[in-house]
Amino acid sequence: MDSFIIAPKSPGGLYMESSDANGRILKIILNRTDKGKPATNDEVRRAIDQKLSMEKTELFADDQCDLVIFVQNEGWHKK
Amino acid sequence: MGIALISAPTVTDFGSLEEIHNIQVRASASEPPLGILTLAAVLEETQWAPFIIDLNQTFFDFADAPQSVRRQAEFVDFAASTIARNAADVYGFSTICSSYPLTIRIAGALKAIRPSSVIVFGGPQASVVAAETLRHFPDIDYIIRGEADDSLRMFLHELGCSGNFIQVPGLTYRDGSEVRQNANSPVVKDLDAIPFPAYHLTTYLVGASSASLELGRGCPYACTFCSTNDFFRRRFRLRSPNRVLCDMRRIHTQYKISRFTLVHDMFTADRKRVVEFCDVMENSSDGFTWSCSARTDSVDDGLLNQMWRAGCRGIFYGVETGSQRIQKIINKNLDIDRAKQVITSTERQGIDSIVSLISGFPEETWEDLRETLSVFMYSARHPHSEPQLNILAPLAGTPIHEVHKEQMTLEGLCSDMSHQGKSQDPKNNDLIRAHPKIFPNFYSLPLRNLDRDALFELHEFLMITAKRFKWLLVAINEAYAHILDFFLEWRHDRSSRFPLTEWSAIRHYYRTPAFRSDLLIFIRNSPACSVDSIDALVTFHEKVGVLSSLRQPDDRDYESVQGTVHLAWNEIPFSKYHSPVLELDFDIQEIIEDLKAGVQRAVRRSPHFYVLLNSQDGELSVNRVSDWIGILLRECDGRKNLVEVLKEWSEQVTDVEDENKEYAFVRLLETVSERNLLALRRPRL
Repeated sequence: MDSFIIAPKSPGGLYMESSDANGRILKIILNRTDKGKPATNDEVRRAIDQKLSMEKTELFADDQCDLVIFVQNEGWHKK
Repeated sequence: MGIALISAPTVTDFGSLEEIHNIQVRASASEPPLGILTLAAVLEETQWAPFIIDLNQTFFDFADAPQSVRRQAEFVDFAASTIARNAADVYGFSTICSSYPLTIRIAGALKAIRPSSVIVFGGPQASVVAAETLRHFPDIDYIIRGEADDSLRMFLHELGCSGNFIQVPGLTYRDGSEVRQNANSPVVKDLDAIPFPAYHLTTYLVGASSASLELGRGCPYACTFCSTNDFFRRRFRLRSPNRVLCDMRRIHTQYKISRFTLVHDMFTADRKRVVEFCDVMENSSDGFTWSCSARTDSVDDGLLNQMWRAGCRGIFYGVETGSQRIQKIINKNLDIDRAKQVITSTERQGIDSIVSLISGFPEETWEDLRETLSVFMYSARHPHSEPQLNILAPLAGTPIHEVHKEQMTLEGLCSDMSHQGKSQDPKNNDLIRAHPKIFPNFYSLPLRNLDRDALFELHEFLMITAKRFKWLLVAINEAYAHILDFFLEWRHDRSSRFPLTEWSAIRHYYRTPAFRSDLLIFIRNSPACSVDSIDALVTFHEKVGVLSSLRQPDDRDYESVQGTVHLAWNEIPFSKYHSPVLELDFDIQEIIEDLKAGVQRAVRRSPHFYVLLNSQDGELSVNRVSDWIGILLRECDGRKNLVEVLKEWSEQVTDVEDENKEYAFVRLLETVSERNLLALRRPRL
């Protein structure tokens, strides 16, 4: 396989095809399904889905700007 | 009669080039001046058609002007010329304490250009120093004190007709060589009668994400440091809930804004009316959210819950001091334990809070300061609570100023309330020095017990570290030493390495990257780092520093690859910083959970991967990703092609069958690309 397409916004999740032989990566998956192991495919998908998740922590990284400036809330602090 | 209403400048403190171009400074300048907009609306209801001049925008216009323009004139002259281009008979300036010297100078320069015009001041600062201002600054013709909704109209009427100014309540004016002050104007009892702010005269709300609306006026309390009573008296008033909702809907219809800052010094003084307001908001189907200010002794779990249901998402609490003794002295009289409970309750309800504290009271001891910092740190360990420490400014007309006005000293930068920039204009300083009664907020009150230099530096230290190193600060305070003791250790080390004596130099230092790296080195080498959680958080910040120091390759040499694209397996993917993934041997969120709960235990060690993402509010959020994504991002280092990345990734990822690895890899590539974790780019041919 020389190349493939990534389509992040494609409906229905995974959508891939090779540029030189249409559906090459997809075909690999389908082949497995064709071999009578659809459950395996679903399991793989589920396992991968878990690995795709991202959790926001309550920590922020301090940005590396050259100068930090604080501006107080004008209405509250300036009379 | 042509009338110009001119807003009080709020960002002109930020005079250096770096400050002027700072995004936060620019953002804060877009806050609409509600007072001016309301007065403009009042005048529009009669025969006048005022126009509005925004001195913040004028300041940015000056800063952005060609150097040739800036060389020829200083801002005062530029602003006066800008204002004068709008020919008016009456120029009405709004005033606040921090920019009062500048406003007076601009008004003087304007008068020189348009000597026949009438210059009127109003707003909080001019109201409390009206007579003194007219005595010393002949270019100012009149001052309208307090709420001007009615008196400005009456004044303009008299100005255009008989000139019988004795009829105008709240007016300070000259009568020959005498300065006369009419009796105070009565407060506006029915705030619903005041028209909708004249937002249409400006572009403040175009594209804005939130809008300010007046919720009411007047605080019934009498804290000795606060000036609000002089302006709004102590008459607590609220707009009716339906009127506020109506104004929100109007803004939403016109500007698509659903988030509101409800302006009132003390919204929650009357519980029954807060409940009424919340009922109306909760029963509306608009889904508006809002923020307000409150005292910690006037809310509880039940009310906070109702406020949340009604759309409240932010509360400003003026706690002021953590010392019960000082609470009494300043007549605030909050119970500190209750204040802490309310901070926690607010967090639990999902409402953001700002906890504002003040230091620098003349009677304050180190122990009082320690207690104030304990409240500061208590707020800091709540993820949605933001502590602020301010240095007391003696505001004109306040009881605290009256008591201590003979003992004030002028010592350069003083309170952050009076000046937030890193240096002051010498010409403003000349005015301040000559007129302490008019500009007392730039002076320092006597400190019987505290060291003023240390206090000033503590303020700079805390405001920067609480923002940049919040959880590290919390960990130090909980597991190593009270934050005051830690600060004094740090300050001793800092001053032994390089003594800084000028306050402007200290302020500048704390805002530069040098402070960041100095502090991390100091903690790394201090006994504090023997505490597991502190060591882990220092490691985190050190690694963030390394990541951030990696610069992007020159965009001109690379083609960005986005969306649905063909990728050849021999192409080289690389991330924004070559390696945006942070690899840590601990779970950062687990450490934060312990700090929030006040639990101290050894940090559990196991590999974790994180990525940094720009969040909507401009912060860099830290997000945990799986080991699969972490390894993928690490291997996309800009040197390996996709085949090589896949090979490396496959060798390290053991919990997927070999036959599925290629499939999983492409799927991951898709996902990280979609989330902007991996900027796929290829060298231009």
